[in-house]
Amino acid sequence: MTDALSQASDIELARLARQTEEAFAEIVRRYSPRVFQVASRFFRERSQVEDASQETFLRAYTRLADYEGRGSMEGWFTRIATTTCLNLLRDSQRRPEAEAIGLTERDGEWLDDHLSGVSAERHRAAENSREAADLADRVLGTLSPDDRLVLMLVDGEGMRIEEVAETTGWSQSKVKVRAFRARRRMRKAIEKLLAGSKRNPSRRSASEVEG
Amino acid sequence: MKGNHIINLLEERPLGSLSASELDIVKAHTAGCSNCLRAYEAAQASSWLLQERVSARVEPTAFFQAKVMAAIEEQSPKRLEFWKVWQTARPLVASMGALVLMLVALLFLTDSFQLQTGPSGLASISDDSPEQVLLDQDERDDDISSSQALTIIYAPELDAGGAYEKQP
Repeated sequence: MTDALSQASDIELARLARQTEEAFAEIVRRYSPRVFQVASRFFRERSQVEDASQETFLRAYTRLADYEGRGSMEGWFTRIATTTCLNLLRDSQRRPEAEAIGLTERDGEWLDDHLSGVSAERHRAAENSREAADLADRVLGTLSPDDRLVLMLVDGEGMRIEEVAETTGWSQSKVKVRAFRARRRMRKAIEKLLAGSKRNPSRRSASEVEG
Repeated sequence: MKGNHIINLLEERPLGSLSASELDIVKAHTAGCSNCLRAYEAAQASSWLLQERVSARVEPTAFFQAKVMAAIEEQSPKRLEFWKVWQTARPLVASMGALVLMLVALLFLTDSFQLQTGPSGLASISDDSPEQVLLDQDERDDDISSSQALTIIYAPELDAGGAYEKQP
């Protein structure tokens, strides 16, 4: 049975999953890497990514009848995961207890070091990648969930505008405009961060002049 | 204005998608413009941070599938319970629906029968116009209207009252 399920096409699997939970388990096994990948765009902590992914599969389970096999099941899951994660992120930002982890002067110094090219070797180290990802997450945390999503998809993953439009359900014009604004906001947040760095007084003074 | 042009170029598309000639323009411009240099450096940092953030992925554990299926199992009893209730109640709901439909049909048939018999019956009594028929019907009606009743009850008293007032 398990072998047969693993060989089954997406449309067959969706039909079977309406009758047996075993078939849905196969869907979870097949698409959990993709759903985790999508959830990872929104959340950094493993527990958050897992919760969002689980929520995605629970929603998909109740909407199996909606999958008609016109597009790929991967695309279907990507859309559900994106919508689910976007809603979860919006909800978490709306909660009064939600506490934004602010950007510190140390973040600016750290980034400044890496941009100056002094620590090129360190730049490539795994530890620095983790720190960079953490810092990116904090900078992205200053943006709206929609801005964050569009930047991750277009600038981060290099997706085309039409692909992003299909995934998010937004128009292509909306994606383009939002990407433009999000890029500007992110750039300004980083400029501010670098200007706050004590390591580079020229940037700070320039920023002060700008006011 | 020249600086704005470079900044717009940085914001229109991802930095990685700029062509070599566009990058040359940016570099040439930033050599003499500190504002654009800062913007370019920030755009580079932004691009790098986003790349690092995208590559930081969380992979599903071996237990994830079991966790999801357990969550589905947890939700399923409620779904099954509803399904069982629905299965039991379905014949009753269907028969009630059929009864309602029959009543509606009966009501419709009765109404249409009255419409058919009503005007033709009146027409057989009188050859007058419909307006006249209605007037005649009012005249034939034994019941009196409220205004007629009030006139009948109070008219003599009003006359009497009027007469009383006239008395010194």
